[in-house]
Amino acid sequence: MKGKEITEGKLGSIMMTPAIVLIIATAVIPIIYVFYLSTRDIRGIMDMGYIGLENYRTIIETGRLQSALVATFLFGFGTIAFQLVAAMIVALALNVEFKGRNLVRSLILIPWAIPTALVGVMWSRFLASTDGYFNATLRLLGLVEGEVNWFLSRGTAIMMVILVDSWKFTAIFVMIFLAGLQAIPTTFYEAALVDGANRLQRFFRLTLPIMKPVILVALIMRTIFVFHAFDLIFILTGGGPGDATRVLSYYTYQETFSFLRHGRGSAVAFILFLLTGLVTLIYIKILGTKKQV
Amino acid sequence: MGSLELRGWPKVLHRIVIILVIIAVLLPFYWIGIMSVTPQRYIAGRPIPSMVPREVSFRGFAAVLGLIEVEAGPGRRAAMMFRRSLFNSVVVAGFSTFFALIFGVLAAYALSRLKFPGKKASYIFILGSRLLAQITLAVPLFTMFRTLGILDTYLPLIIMNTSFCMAWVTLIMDNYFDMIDSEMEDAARVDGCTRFGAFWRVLLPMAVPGIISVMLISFLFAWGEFLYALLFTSSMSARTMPVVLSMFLGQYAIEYRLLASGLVLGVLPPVLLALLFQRFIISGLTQGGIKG
Repeated sequence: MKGKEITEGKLGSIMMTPAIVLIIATAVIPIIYVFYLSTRDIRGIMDMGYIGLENYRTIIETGRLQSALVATFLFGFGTIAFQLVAAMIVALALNVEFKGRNLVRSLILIPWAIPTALVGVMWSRFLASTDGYFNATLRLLGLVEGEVNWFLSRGTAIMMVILVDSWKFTAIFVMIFLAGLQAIPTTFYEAALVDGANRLQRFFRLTLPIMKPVILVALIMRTIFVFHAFDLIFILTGGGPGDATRVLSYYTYQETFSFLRHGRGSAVAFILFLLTGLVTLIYIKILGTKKQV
Repeated sequence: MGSLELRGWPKVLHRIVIILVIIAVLLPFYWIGIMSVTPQRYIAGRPIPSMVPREVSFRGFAAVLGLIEVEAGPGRRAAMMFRRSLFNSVVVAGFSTFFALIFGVLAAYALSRLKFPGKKASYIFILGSRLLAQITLAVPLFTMFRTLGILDTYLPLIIMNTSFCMAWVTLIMDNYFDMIDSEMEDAARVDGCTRFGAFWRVLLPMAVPGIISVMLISFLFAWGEFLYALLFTSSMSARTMPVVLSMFLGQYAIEYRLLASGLVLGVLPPVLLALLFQRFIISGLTQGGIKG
């Protein structure tokens, strides 16, 4: 080995530097700054000074934080439950040999690849009460009558946001599940066949237990990304009707950029950060960081 | 492969599921397709808008792309804004992907092959930064970019997209490098190659498939990024395509044909990439991390 070559530790640090600098500048410092802002009374461009945890108290006392948590929970639970079940069915279907299987596999990736905002714009047009194609198709099939405005009532508004979110994101679950299913050796199934297990028994006693870790990873990842959901809600509902779809991320946006209360908005943002951090910690705890350094 | 032959009713059920999936994915594209080529009067305000294309013309596309003049009014301005936004999106996504790849691959090599102080902390920082919701960082970033005087330019968008994409690139490539045996690099080192040389000339060429997949995933993310583009731009000069299209939605004066043509054009690059590079994208997604 040549003597002048720099040491391993030094090379590692050098190669790591650009990434770490960028992350400190665009994530670490901003998070600290968010906490700082959350302790100040800011209206518009006026900073009225330090007020301790007053912002946190206000968002709780007005009940807005709680309603945002409820909306986040409903949206999160709905999307994850729906997508989990739908994706498992689709993944099982795609795990069977049939003509055109590769084509269908490519197809389901398309909605995922499209920008979420464009998915929102598309579906916002389809869901338009009078001349939207979604409603028109339901009308042709005789499923609804007259004008339908899905975004007038809380229940249907949440349902539609979940539906559109699922149109885009179910593919992720499908991909992960399919990879998991294909890793199960055929011999397992042959043994089960010999034992006379039927299809359902094979699924619940064999496939599902083997798939448990895969499902868990997908579940935790999606839980984290539930907190990220913004684009669709911004475009489809604007948090409404009332506060039905005003999830935490949208509430943060509203406080800061619509009401220009940067202090309060930062308090919501910091709570959102703590929640994401909590789920991340659970994630790391359960799955372990891959590296033991 | 765990695929067993299907016979009888399970086979029927299976085909029904497959057909429903195909319809669910393709029907919205069919609707958008009709809207993009059919004159307004067959769609707007009708309880049953035309379900088949009528009087097909590609005027919408031509107008949006600036190939024909649009009559003065909101449509003209919209078409102009859209063209500019498409250009902005290409610039932002291109630069972000480029920088994310460089920073990310370097970091991934360090994490995968080298021992250095602060390694575990680096890994956690990168994983954590990817999991942060964009909105949590919006206020401080807005203030920072305003102080720097770079709001409404490409810079804040390129910086933020690079930062988010880099984290994915690092995590996915770290996994990818781990799967490649270091034997070849060791051999090159015995032959007098430096560590960096072994990385550059031996490992990287072997990692090309992985690099293609992270490149695609980064590009798709940057192409579709919405929140920061919405917050950090205020005029045509840097607004990206998703933001401009979302603004069209509220303007009823704009013909559906224009909106739909814009949608088709905005959706086309990701759709083509997804179809052409399916394998790369799926392997990237399932190996290294899961995108939201």
